[in-house]
Order: sequence, then structure tokens, then C-alpha cells
Amino acid sequence: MGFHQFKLRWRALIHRRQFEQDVEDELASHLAMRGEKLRGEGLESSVARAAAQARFGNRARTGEVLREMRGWGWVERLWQDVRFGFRQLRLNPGFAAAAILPLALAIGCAAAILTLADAVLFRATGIGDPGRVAAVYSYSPAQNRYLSDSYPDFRDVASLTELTESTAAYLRTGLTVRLTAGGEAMNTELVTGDYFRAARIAPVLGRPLTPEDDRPGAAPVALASYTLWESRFQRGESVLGSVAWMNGVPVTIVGVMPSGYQGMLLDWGDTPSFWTPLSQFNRLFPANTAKDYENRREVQMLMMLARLRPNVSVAQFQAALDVTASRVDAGVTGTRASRLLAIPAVQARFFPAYREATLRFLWLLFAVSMTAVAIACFNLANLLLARSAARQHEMSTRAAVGASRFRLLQQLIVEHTVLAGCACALSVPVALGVTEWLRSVQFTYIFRPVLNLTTDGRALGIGMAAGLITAVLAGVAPAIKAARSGVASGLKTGRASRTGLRDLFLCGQVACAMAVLVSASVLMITLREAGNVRVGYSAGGVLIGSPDLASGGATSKDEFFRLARTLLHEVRSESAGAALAWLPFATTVRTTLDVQAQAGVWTPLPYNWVSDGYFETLRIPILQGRGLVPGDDSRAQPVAVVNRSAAALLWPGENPVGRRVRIRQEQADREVVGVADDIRLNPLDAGVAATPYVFLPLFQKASVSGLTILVRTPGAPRAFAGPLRQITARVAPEGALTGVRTLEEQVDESGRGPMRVAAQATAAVGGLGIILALAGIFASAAYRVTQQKKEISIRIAIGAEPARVVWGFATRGLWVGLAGVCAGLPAALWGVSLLRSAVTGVGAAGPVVLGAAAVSLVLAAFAAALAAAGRIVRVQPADVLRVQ
Amino acid sequence: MGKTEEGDLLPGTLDMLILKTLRREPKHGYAIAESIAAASEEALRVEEGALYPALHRLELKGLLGSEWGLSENNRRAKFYHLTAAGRKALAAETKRWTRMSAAIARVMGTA
Repeated sequence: MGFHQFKLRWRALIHRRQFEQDVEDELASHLAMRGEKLRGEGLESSVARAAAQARFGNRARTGEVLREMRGWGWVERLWQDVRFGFRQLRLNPGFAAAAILPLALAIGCAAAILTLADAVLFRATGIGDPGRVAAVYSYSPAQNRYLSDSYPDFRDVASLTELTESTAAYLRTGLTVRLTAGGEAMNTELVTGDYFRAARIAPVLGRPLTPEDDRPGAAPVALASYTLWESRFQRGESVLGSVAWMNGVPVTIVGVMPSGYQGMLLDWGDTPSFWTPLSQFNRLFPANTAKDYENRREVQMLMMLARLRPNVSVAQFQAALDVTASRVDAGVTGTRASRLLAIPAVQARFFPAYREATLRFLWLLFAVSMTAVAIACFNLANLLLARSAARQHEMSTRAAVGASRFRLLQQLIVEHTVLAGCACALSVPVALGVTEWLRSVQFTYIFRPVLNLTTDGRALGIGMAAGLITAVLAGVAPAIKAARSGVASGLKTGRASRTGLRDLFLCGQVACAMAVLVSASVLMITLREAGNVRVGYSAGGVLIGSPDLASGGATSKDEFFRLARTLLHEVRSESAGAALAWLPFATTVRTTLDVQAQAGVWTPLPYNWVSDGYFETLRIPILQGRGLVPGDDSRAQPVAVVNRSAAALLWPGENPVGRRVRIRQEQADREVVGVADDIRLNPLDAGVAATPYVFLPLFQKASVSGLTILVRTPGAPRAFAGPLRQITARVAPEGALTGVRTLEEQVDESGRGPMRVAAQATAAVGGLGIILALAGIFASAAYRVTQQKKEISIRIAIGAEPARVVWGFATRGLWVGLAGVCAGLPAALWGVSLLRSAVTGVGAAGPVVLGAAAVSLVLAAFAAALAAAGRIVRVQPADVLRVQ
Repeated sequence: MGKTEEGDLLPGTLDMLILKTLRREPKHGYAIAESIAAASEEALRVEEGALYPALHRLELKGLLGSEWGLSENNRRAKFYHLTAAGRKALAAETKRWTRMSAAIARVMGTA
């Protein structure tokens, strides 16, 4: 189509009315002139008009041809179909709502799950050209565990310059930062000089950190995060040269990180607010005992990344690491027991040990949302079939006046696309809502990523496109069926076609509902059983929090412990008991140390450093000997308390009290002074044997570190948050109190969070599926009753028992339910196995659960059909037959 | 396509006749039909309805332009005229037609 032609057609489209008037006028004036001429030749006016018409030919057809020549062909037809589709929806609001809403819900959920998967797995972390970056972890084959790296490891890897362009190590840690007034807890990444070069990050303002900043005696500098720059400096240039007091050290801000950069790892606590050289570690943490970390292999606190040279693969790099790992080191204490493992950076977005579990959990959520989409599509197909039966008359009429079967099909498919398009549009707010909900869910049980869960056009687009295609495909079979119902059949009697296809879709819905119902039941049962497990401690009424004493004024270990004791004393005077611990109470971090009970046998056991009052505060029974007392400090004899499982493991059948244990890297033995009862940190581990555990006195710890305070509060735990903050501020003015929450929340989050998400998601989808399936069965039966009213009336009129007729109709629902349940059984078993692989602690689907789900679904299907068929009784044969 | 009373016009000839008719002055559809009939001494009488699709097609091709005016007896009528492209097309068609009719005449003459 040339430009000239386009212009003319466009004009005809824009001035449509004018154009049509012109065509009419042009033809009319021709006929009038011809008529006048013929009258001039002596014909009578009516005869002249007829003759003019005859000479002209088919005027209406000519007009049609002229209009079509300026028309837009298929585009115009499509537009007509789209408008027709919208009109259809407006005329049938009930049908529109029933078809669109479930679909919108399902597509919205799927899009939200995709957003989550994208944020966890794919969204760029902000490092440049990540394809050539490898993350390096230590891996302990003996324990099958991933570990952090030591500084000597970093030096080893950094020496592989023939394979790497640059190598960097970093450490994320919390410290107290004072910008204008008042200390705040903020996360900071301490990085080596090549961090910016290796990660290819360009600051939006100021300069990056360089190896120059690592020189001894270099002034402490830092880059601020974009978020901090925005919130505290209103994105002004004044940030450059500003001083941030970090743990009391004045640090000059020299740059601002790019927007959205939150470090390479998603799961290492909160997003950092600052990036500062690792060489400042000892100044920032004067009381820390990892001071000579540079020469100690056992201090594994760093993460590492290496930018590989072009044409160097991760496998080649790994081969080089394997050689390096076995090299003997000079001048460095400790040995490397673990292997260095290179992982492509795009796969190392969070601690590698969590990757598989995370993938499984995402896959589970995705499967649930896909089931929802399938249910909604079955529902849609069903409704369309029902409607195609209702519209048979319309279709037949259109076919009779000349619409081709293909044209009818085309129109129906456009109608379905309009419908699916509406669902997609409506799914956007649903997706936003579900994303918001997912943001509030903590996935701590697997790991705790800080996700940039903003709405994601890409995931939303993919989700909606997939939903659209599925929905349109679901409409194809009904459309073909509707378009095929020929002219004759529809016009003659308006009889219903057989409903085999509908029953098939209903079966599909019942099958999906079965699968989800079983999964939801299994989750519910597991959660309920978890609530009944005797955990061995009392979490109710306990508030926890993390005071930062290291930044709060402590300059040495002694000072740190003095502050800790003061804090403990002050808190106890206002509460019903308090204790301090190194690790938070319930945590997935399973740190172990090697314990020797018999010469030469080292057993790795999980452990914690806890203060006196720990067992009392948590109400953990002491079975033998004593708990820990205030006197268990560095001047007293080193002691330990073991739990029952540890006692059984180390001294089977013997009394452990009075026995001696040696902790690796300690100079003296410790005496076991007591045995505490076993506790279950995670109630979902009910079937698993209790974990052996060692408790060591906090005040005998060789170094200072993070602390958690546990308070048994006088009233509701939350109400004590304020007093706890005040006391902490009084004891350690510069230190911040973070992570204040009830112990119940902590336990719940670390144990049952993902299971609750899974349970809520499957229960919601299952509920939706069951409602839609039952509504479908009801509607289908009701429809058949309406269609066959005449037949029923005759049967009742000639003496058939109404109850028997009702029964005849209702059995159809029974069969649909049975077939659906049978088809759903393998799906249910597969669903539960997926669930069990994705969420730890989920029970199996026993025959009771399966049977109960099957029976209730079949009965519900039967009841729905029965309810619909019950209308038969109300049929008055005389009325129906009279109408006929 | 147009028809003669005896039979079909050769394909494409209607377009050529229309262009030829409009060579001197703009005309409306009725006048075009009349002049084709008159010039051929009523031998070629176009089915008048078929004239209009041809006119619109030529207009869409850019060979004809049009404007609305008043006919001799004061009716609103659409007047067609040749565009520059139309004149060029007419010249080409005329040349082709002359060549072809001569060839046909030769064949018919020698047969």
C-alpha cells in the first residue's frame, strides 16, 4: 500500500460518515441524471427510474464494493470482532465475572511467583559483566558444608594472576554508625582494594575504593549506598567529604554506590549502607580477637570473587584452585582443611548450600500457581462450552446469512482473546498484591534473602503472556465446537449437543482440586502436629534482641563483659529473668566445634556460649548436676553443660557430670557440670532424633562477638521492647539494639514460615478449585435439566417417579466426580512428593487423607448435581407441555 | 468488469477508456459513461455500476484525482480528473494498445 493509497484510506476511516455519504451521493446522482435523460427521451418517470436502475446494475453491491476498497480488510474485521467481544461481555456480566475473575486471580499469582523467582535467581545484582566472575567458597568435604574463606586463602587465589584479572575479598558486618546524632546499626561491607575492579562497579558519585586505600596508615574512607545518599543527603554533592562515625572511628565518605546495588549476596543480613576497606578492620573492631586474621587460616570470615581473564573457564580456574589448595604455606598459622570451590557468580547469589532447597521451594510455589491457572482454564473452557450451546441459535443464524465457518471461528477466538485480555489486565493488581504479600513472608527456613521484590515488568509480562496463551488455547475447543454446529441443527430445534466435552473439563477441574486438596490437607496436618510437639522449653513470654556492646563503648574484652553484666543486671531488675547468648536461640546457622571426650576422638557438635540464667529463662530442665552460674567466668575453672543427647553420644550409659572434655584450640580441659534436657529448636523435626548440643559459659569466651539478650518479660513480651531499648541505651549509649522480637516469632519464622506459605497457597488454590469445580458440575446438571424439560415432563406425565428422574440426572455428577478423583490421584501423589522435597518436615499422604479427600470430592460433586437436578421436582409437566 | 452489448471488454480496457475520456476535462461518472458510449457510437456500452469500482481503483492508484462540484443540472457530483501519473499511464496504455491492435489486425488480416 503506497502512501497515497494509505492517505485516502485513512481519510475514509477518519471521516467515515462523510465517506459513506459521498458514496451514496455519487451513485444517487448518477441514477438521477440517467433518469432525467430517459425522461427527456419520453419515458414515464417511474419507468425511467426502473430503466436507470436496470442499466446501472446492483447499486447496493456497488456501494459495498466501493466501501470495501477504502476499508482496512482484516484489521477492520478484527476491530469489529473485538468490539463485539466487549459488547458480549457487557451483556453477560455474570458469565464475564465467572470466567474472568478466577483467571485473573490465577494469572496474577503466577506472575507474582515469577517475580519472586526472578528476584531470587535471575535479577542482576549490579556487578558488571557477571558472566566472567566466579565466587570462591571453602567447602569441607568431611562435613559436606560450604564455609567462608580466610585471608590467606584470598592471598592464594589472588596470586593466580595468569587466570584472573582481579580478585577481591569482602566481609559484611554490622556496626554502629553515627551520621549526625545518635548511633544506628548499619551493615557495612569491608572490601579489599580490588573489589570495585573485580565487580566492575562504577560509583554514581565520587571515586571507587582502590588498592591505595589498603596501604597501612591510609585514612579511613567509605562509599555510601544509593539509598543512604537519597535518604540522608537528599542526593546532594555534600555527601562527598562528609564524616560517618563508624564504631567511633571517623570515616570520610568519598563516593556513592550505583542505585539498586545491594552487594553480590542476597542473603547476608540487610543490605549494606557502606563499603569501606577491609584494612580498617582492626581500627573498626579494636576488641575483636580476629586481629591477625591476615595470617590465620582458621579465621574464615571472608567471601571472595575473582574476575577471570577472557577465555578462562570456571573449570580451568577450579583446576588451578585445586593445585593452590594443596600448596604448603609459609608464615601462616593453621591449615586449610577445606577445598576452594569456584562457582559462577550468577549462581552464587546466595550461599550455595541453599540453592537446591530454594529452587525446590520456588518450583513448589510455581506448581501451585500453575495448578490455579489450569483450574481457571478448565473453568473457562467449561463456561465457553456452556455458552456456545446457549448461542447455537445465534451462530446458526449467522451461518445461514453467509458467514463462513472460518469467519465464525475467527470471531469466537477474538472473543476469547478479549476475555483473556480482560483477565490479564485484572491480574495486574492481583500480582501486585501477591508480590506485596510475598515480600512480607520471611523465607528464613531456607535462607533469608533481602530481595528487591519490586514489580517486575519482565516477570509480569511473561506471566500474563503465558496466561493469555493458555486461556486462548482453552477457548479453541469450545470455539471449534460452536463454529461447527452447522446451520441446520441449531435452527431446527435448538437442541443441546451432547455434553461430553464439558464433562471432560469438569473431570479435569475435579482432578486439579483433588491434587491441591490432598496437598493442603497434608500441610495442615503437619502444621497441627507441629503445634502439639513437646519442644522442651517455653518460648512464650520471652523477648529477644541484639545489643551492640562492641560499638557501645567497650574498648576491650574485659570492658565488653563488664557492660554485658551490667546490662544483664539492669534488665533483670525490671523483668522476670534474663540471659545472654552468643547465637540467637533458634537459628539455622549450625556452627559446630570439635569436642574431645576420649583421647584422639574429636566429635563436631553444635554449641552456643550462654550466660548464667539461660536455662532458667527458657525453662529448660536441668536433669543432672547444675546449670551455669554467675561465677562461671574467665577466672573460674572452665566448665561446660551438655544436653541429654550429647551426654548419650559422648558417654553412653554413664554419668557425664564430673567428666572432662577438651574443646579444640583451647588450652585446658573443661569439666562437665550439668546435663540439660533436649530441646527441639524446630518443632517440625519431631520425627528426627534430637541434636546433641554443648553449652559453654559466655563469660569464659576468649573473644567478644555479637550478643543476643533473652528476657522473660513480666507482661506481654512486646510491651517490654521499650524498656529494653531504654536500658540498653543507658548501659551502652553508642550501641544500637536491633532484632527485637518475641522468641515465638523467631522460632516460628525459622521453622514454620515456608510451610505456612505453602499451606496457605495450596489451601487457597484448593478452595478456589473446589468451588469452581462444584459450581461447574451444578451448572452443567442444571443446564441439562433445562434442556430436557420437555422430555422430563413427558416422563413424569406418563407416570415416572420424580425421584428416579432426579437420581438419573444426579448420577452423572457422581460419575464426573469419580472420574476426576481417579485422574487426580496420581497428580495428588506427585504434588505431595513435590511438597515433601520442597519443604522439610512435611508428612506423607496416607490412605486416610487420600480416601477422605476422594470421598468428600465425589460426594460434593454428587450433591452439586443433585441440587441442580432437584429442580426437576418443581417442573409442572402440564405447564411445560402446554407451552409446547 | 464492463461489458459490451456483444460481449466482454478486453481486460484492462475499461481503465484505458476512462483515462482517455478524461484527457481533455474533468468529468463526473455519468458523463464518463455517456462519453464512452457516445464516442464508440453506442457500440461500447459500459454496465454503469461497474464504472465506479474502476474509477475508485484508479483514484486509489493515484492516476485520477477528484473533487466535488455541481453537475449541469445542479446536483452534487464527484468530478474526476487525470493526475500527472494518470497522463503518463494513458500515454503508455495508448502506445501499448496501438501496438497490440495493429498486431491483432495483422493477424486477423492475414488469416
